[in-house]
This record gives sequence, C-alpha cells and structure tokens, in this order.
Amino acid sequence: MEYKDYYAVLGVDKSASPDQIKQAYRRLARKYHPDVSKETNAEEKFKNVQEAYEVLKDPEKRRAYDELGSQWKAGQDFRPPPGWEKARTHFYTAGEGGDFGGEEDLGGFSDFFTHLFGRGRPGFERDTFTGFKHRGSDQHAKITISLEEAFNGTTKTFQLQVPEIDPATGRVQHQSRTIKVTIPAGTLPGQQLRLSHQGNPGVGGAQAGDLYLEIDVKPHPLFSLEGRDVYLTLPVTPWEAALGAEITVPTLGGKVGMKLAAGVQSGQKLRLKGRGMPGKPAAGDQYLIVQIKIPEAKTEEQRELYRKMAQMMPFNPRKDW
Amino acid sequence: MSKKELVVVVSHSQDASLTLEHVCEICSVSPDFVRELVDYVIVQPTGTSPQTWRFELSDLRRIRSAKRLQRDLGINIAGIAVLIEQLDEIKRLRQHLAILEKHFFRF
Repeated sequence: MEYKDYYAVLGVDKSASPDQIKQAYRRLARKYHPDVSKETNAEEKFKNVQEAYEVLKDPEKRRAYDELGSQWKAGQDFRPPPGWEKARTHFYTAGEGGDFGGEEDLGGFSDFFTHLFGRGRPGFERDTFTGFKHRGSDQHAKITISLEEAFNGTTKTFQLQVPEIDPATGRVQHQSRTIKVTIPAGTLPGQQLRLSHQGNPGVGGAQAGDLYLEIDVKPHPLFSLEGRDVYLTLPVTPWEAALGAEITVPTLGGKVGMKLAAGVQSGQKLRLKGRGMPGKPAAGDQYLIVQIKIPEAKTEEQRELYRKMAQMMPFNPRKDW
Repeated sequence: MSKKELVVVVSHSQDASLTLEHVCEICSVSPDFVRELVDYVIVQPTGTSPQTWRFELSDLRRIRSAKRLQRDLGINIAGIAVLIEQLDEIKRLRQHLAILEKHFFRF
C-alpha cells in the first residue's frame, strides 16, 4: 500500500498546531468540495483532505501516525511496522464517524488509513448481519449516450457488479448482472432514471434498493443543447444572405428545407419551432446562428468583382463610430 | 464469486413521485432536514402537507448535495439555499457561454 503524507495533503508543517490544521482543512474542504469545486479530480482531492484531517485532528491518531517516522515519502510502498496489528484495534470504534455513514457518502478512506486505524466509518459489513430486515442500499451508475440517441431514444445494455447474498452461507458475493434499459426519446444530459429494485439486495427478505442511472450526453460536433433547445451554426454565402435562399438544414430529426429571408446578418438567430429535443409540455426549438462566410478572392477577376461591389454598393459598416 | 450472469430488462420511471419517507430513506436524511429544505425552497415538492408531499428524482440530487454541504463544510440551511442558487446560476451561465463560444464567436 502507498504511504500517505497527511501533512503535505493539508499543506501544513509537521509542527502545525491543531488550529492551523483545522484552518488548512477548512480552506481545502471549501476548495475541493465536489458540490462546489470545478477543479479536476475534486472528489479525489477532497477525500484525501478529509482523510488527512481525520488523522491529524485527533491527537492519538496523529501521535500514532507520527510514530511511523519521517523517513517515508508520499506514494512510497508502505509496510506497517511490527506491533501495528494490535495497536490499531484501539482505534476501531463502531460509532466513529457516524456522521459519514450512508451509501451516498463519497467513498471510504485509503488502504493506508484502513490498515493503520481500522475502518473509520460503518461500512458494508453491516449487510451481512442477520436477524433483522432492512431495504438494500441504492446504487448509482452513469451511462454516456450520443445526442442522436438522446433525441431518438435508445436501448442500452451494460454490466453492473451487484453484491448478492449467498443463501447457503449468508456471505456476500459479487455477481455480474447485465441490465438492458430503454432510454426514452428526449432524455436530457444529467437526467436520472430510477430502476426500481435493481440496487443492492435487501437483508432478511427486505426489498432491494433502487438503481439510479444518470444519463450523460456526449458533446456533438455540430449541435449544442440548452435545455430542450438545440443550437446549430448556419454558414451562408454573402449572396444567400443578401438575396435570400432556399436551403436545407440538418436537425436531430433529419434534414428540413427552409427559406432564408433576404438581408440576414451574421450572428442573427433564426428559429425552427419544435425542432429541438422532444418532451413535455412541448418539444424544444432549433436555433440557427447565421454566419456569413466571405469567399477568398483568388484570381484577378474575382478581386475585380469585389472592387466593383465596392463601387456599386457604397456601404460603411462603421458609420456609428 | 459467481460466474452466473443474469440479463434483466428493466423498466424505469423518470418522474417517480417520491414520498417524504422514501426520500429520507434514499438520501439517509431526517424528515426534519427535508422539512427545512422545503421551508427554504431548496426543494419544492407538490402537495400541501408533509404527508402529501411528492418529490421528483431531480430533488434527490439537491437533497444529497445539501446534506454534504452541511456535513462537510458546516454551512447552515440558509447558507446552503444561497449557495445552491448560485451554483445553479453558474451552471446556467457556463452552458450559455459554451453555446456562445461554439456558435457565435467561432469564425
């Protein structure tokens, strides 16, 4: 297992006072809290900070940790010194960290922590207790689909590791379960589906928990989503913009013909009503953002054409300056 | 380890309406905690009394998030209400900015 340098995680000195440790913890907890932070790996960093604080805030745990000596470096392969096995039972208290319990918790502490101090939190073991009934815990999973799949609806098959209780031995074993789920048309990114009784099994004949499946939608090269509305850049030529044109536009539901009015400008937003993501009470719209593309004048003849335009169409786009 | 594999075809519900009791069980929170979140309009169930309240799936995320913010950062409910509103606003702005960058500013 890897050695963890808890002082480095909190960015404090080995001689830091309890107050300094508390302040460092609070600052970093704010910075990396997964509900607030936009940092990459915020969740991982937050867990590390919590774990470091769990040890350094407690004088006994801190002393025990310090006794490992200062020759260790973070990430180094760590083997506990003899005698630790006995000592750690001292820290094993069932009620400890009661606040942290629950499966919606951000996850347990590292092997390093668990080895030195035992499990700081009530863990999975309780599921093996017998003699009482309780509903299985919920599971969470995330699945990524394309925007087209989200628009049309799709069926996805995925594997899930589900702990199941062997009726013969009463032990928990992991079983791979294949789940096939239909994702309805018009599913938006971040939306959750609740799959009843597909979570962890209950104990003593109680119901299994639920599986919450979060839908993630891959970014699309052409389209963007804002709620149920779809955005698409519409590149047009100067003559199409000036004279109007009949053009064909891709939408998630297929190509549609549309009439471009004469005189549109770059950045103008055109609406195709009801061509966005399907849904209740109404489907979203598709917005086309006009972008006028100017052809490069490559030949002398083409340059002459631009000069002629300049003469025939006096126009000053900076007249308001 | 069992090698047996099951194929389960499951149906699901998107707009499950959840009772207060169910929400508390799913999120491991007390009914009092949820009542406070409702008082501060952090979640808005349908129904007029705790007995008839019905929550949506999207409320679960807010409730869990509120719980974590209270537990990990020691923020009170009023502070959580402000923070969650600000975080929602930031999320909206980021989305909008991404659209502006992709469709308006890129030439």
